[in-house]
Amino acid sequence: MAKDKKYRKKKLGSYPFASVVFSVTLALFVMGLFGLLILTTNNLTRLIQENVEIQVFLHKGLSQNEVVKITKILSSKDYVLKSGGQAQIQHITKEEAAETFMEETGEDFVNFLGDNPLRDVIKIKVSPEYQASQNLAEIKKEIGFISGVFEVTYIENLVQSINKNVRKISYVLVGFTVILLIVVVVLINNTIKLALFSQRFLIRSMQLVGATSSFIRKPFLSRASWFGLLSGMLACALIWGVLQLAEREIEGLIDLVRMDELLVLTAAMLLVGLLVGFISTFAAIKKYMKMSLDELY
Amino acid sequence: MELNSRPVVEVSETDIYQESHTVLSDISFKIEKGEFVYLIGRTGSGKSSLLKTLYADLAFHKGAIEVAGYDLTKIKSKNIPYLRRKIGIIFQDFQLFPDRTVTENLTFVMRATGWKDRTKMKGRLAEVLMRVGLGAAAEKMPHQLSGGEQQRVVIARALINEPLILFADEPTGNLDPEVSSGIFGLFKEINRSGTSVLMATHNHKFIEDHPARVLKCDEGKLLDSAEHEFELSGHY
Ligand SMILES: Nc1ncnc2c1ncn2[C@@H]1O[C@H](COP(=O)(O)OP(=O)(O)O)[C@@H](O)[C@H]1O
Ligand SMILES: [Mg+2]
Repeated sequence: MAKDKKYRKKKLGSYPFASVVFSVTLALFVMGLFGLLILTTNNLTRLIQENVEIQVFLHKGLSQNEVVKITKILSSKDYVLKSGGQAQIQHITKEEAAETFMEETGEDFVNFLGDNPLRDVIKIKVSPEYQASQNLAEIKKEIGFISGVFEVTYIENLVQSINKNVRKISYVLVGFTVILLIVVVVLINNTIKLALFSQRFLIRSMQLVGATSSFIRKPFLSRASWFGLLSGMLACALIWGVLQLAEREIEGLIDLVRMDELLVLTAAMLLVGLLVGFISTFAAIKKYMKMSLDELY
Repeated sequence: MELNSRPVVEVSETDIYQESHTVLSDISFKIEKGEFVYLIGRTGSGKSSLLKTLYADLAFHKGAIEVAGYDLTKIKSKNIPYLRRKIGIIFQDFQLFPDRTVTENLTFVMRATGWKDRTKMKGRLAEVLMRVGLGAAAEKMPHQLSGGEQQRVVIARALINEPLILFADEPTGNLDPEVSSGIFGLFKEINRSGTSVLMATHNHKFIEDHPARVLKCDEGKLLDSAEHEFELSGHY
């Protein structure tokens, strides 16, 4: 048996950890980016979906009765978003519209023109099931036939195109995460193999005096778990940093990330770090302890 | 107390293997509690292989082996540590850690074998060191001890868990004659207090001065002086 030349006190379970921590951190960071992307798009989608609106402009000079009738017809439609049993419909008179307009522009155009050129408008929030562009086009057509309706407009829903792009990015990020996790597992495997080999004298002695495998494994496992956790913390710090940077570039971005969800993401990253460290170390030790330690190289 | 009446080692019709070649074939013997047995034979005759098999470090293929109440034929690997706590191993390849004091060497073993109580550990440590005559060496590093003293620490380590039997593989191999007989005396003393000893040795003088049962590895067979007489001397 090759004797250790150096009389440096070796601790069981120690191993060079820098590369392990680095790679686990990287893997978790990419995973965190993926998580962040999913969270923001989910919230963005919800935000957009709650605000898909159809504006129904009415003919001028309709009576109060006629307006009420149109509102009632629209309220009964399935495509109108219901919130608390209440159809999300809003009637804005041309006077109200003019006031808002004046507030925004600071120009008293009614006085200037001597007439209010605006029309009464009914704003309808559309429930998510009817937000596909095809549906919206049909709804527009249908409303157009109601007598008293002058014009129907809506802004094309962005959700579909957002989701399509997000899905593409997700595939890339998930792919990266998987590759990095594989790299991590292989790296940990090799690191543990090296550590077991360099400590074979110690381990062999422990085996000969009757130390159980779990006793020998314990220092390796606790170290690996700790390094996994440390990597998780580093990756979380990176994610928070990225979020701060992004917020500086895109204002309002941070409002798309809810604090409670971010905390869940953080906890998940720490947990995955810990589990990856623990499980891959456990597997590596189990594999190599079965062999005679001298056969490792 | 069935264990007390049963042999500490019982080998029946077993083959000892190194990798795929047979080192000893069809061997059978028993060692009773408190017995002292020499194991002799030329270099390469299979003494170490036999001892390794007895402490479950080397697999065997045929027959049955029972050591300290454990049936090695079907022992699960998770039970091997508990078998090893009932035996003491003194082996050339099994040296002290050069980077720790005597105390650290021994407490390391205690912790590895499930000792937790600090007071008990201290007590046991003092006990085994006294027993091997090294009460004053507790804080020394192995390189500060002579070869004989180091071997005494190794024996102390083997005694920690009060083994039923000591397996010693050429325990005096590297020591000069005077120191050797001191170490041998220690084995005899340990044996007198009831621990069985199976000692592989080349030292013919021990056998002459302290006759006891001899097992001899000879051309793939194991001869037993308890069964029939054979030539002790010859080429070692
Ligand atoms: N680790 C090993 N691998 C393969 N063969 C071995 C190994 N150790 C010993 N042998 C062989 O087994 C035989 C018995 O060796 P050993 O038990 O060491 O004998 P002894 O201890 O009596 O000198 C020898 O032929 C030796 O070459
Ligand atoms: Mg030998």
